[in-house]
Amino acid sequence: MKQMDEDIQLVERYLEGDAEAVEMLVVKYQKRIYAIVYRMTRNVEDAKDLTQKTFVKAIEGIKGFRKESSFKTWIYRIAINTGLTHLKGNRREERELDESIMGSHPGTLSTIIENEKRGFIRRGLDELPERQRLAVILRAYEGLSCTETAQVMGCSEGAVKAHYHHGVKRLKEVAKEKGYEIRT
Amino acid sequence: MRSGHEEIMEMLPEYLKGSLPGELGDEVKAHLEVCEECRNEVSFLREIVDSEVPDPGDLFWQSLPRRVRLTVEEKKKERFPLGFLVRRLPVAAAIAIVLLLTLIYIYPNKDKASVQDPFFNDPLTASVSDYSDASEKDIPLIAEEITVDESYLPRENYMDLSYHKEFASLSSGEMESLYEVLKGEQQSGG
Repeated sequence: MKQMDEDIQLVERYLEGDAEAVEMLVVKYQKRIYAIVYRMTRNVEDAKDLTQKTFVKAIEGIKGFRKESSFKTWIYRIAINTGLTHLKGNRREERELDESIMGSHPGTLSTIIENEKRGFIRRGLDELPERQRLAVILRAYEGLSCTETAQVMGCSEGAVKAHYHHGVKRLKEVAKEKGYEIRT
Repeated sequence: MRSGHEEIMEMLPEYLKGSLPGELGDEVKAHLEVCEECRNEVSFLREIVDSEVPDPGDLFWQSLPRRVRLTVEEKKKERFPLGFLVRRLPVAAAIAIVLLLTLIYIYPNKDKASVQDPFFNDPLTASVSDYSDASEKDIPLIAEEITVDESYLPRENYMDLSYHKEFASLSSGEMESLYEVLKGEQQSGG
């Protein structure tokens, strides 16, 4: 609640003409937005570009932000939409290149196995249907509640639960197919 | 209120992220000690969450806030002249159309007005004023008003001012007969 109030204060300060308030909002959310769009695109350069685009879009449309919802869910939604628009026009060739660069780092055997496992999970995530992938990204990676995820995705909480459940189930199947054990 | 297994399952992502309020966090923790299914779920979530996101570097994080602000400011400046005009283009076009239609409507009507002079049809409606309720006693007052009626005088500049006064001094009976005479002349083309 405190965080929400802080965000709303910053938004109000910006609307009153304090341009520095924008910078403070960016500092606060830049890492989370970058992580979301990176998980959607799997490309560092795209993620950097989309992070900036997300903030620019948000600030330009800040008058449309209704203060009864949180700034966090509002900007996450913009990030998701920006990412989806980018993905629709730009399929996965660059992602493959990015992964091959990342996978070329040398390391110990355990690191290589760890990276390989992460690679499988990552690919499993990439292959999930769009809504399931978003539900997993927002719930598992970003730790959003069902209510917040529903607000970001623009659907019901029931739909979020179903997308998340199917997404995680599929990822478990991918891990099992590749013979990776999940340690308890 | 204690939460059930399904509810705890729903809360695990938030628990791992540390975003659950204290009391609920403790409840999840206690449940994890006795529920193997939830422990497995937490382990799996930890595995997928651990997949790394490459850090774009300090330079990116430090410069992004300023870049966002400058981009927004620049876009605002760029948008203003063009956007201002584009946004107002439909309004300007609508105003131009209305003006054009008004001019088209006014000019032919103005010509008609000069051709069909109302004076000879009905002298009492020659002025823009309405004298329909006037009595005989009001006639000198009406005559005064007619002489200062600006909208009337320029159009009727072929009429002598004294003629109006003479005309205004007629009684209602005389006016009616004059009206009948004029009407008859107009019908016979005189």
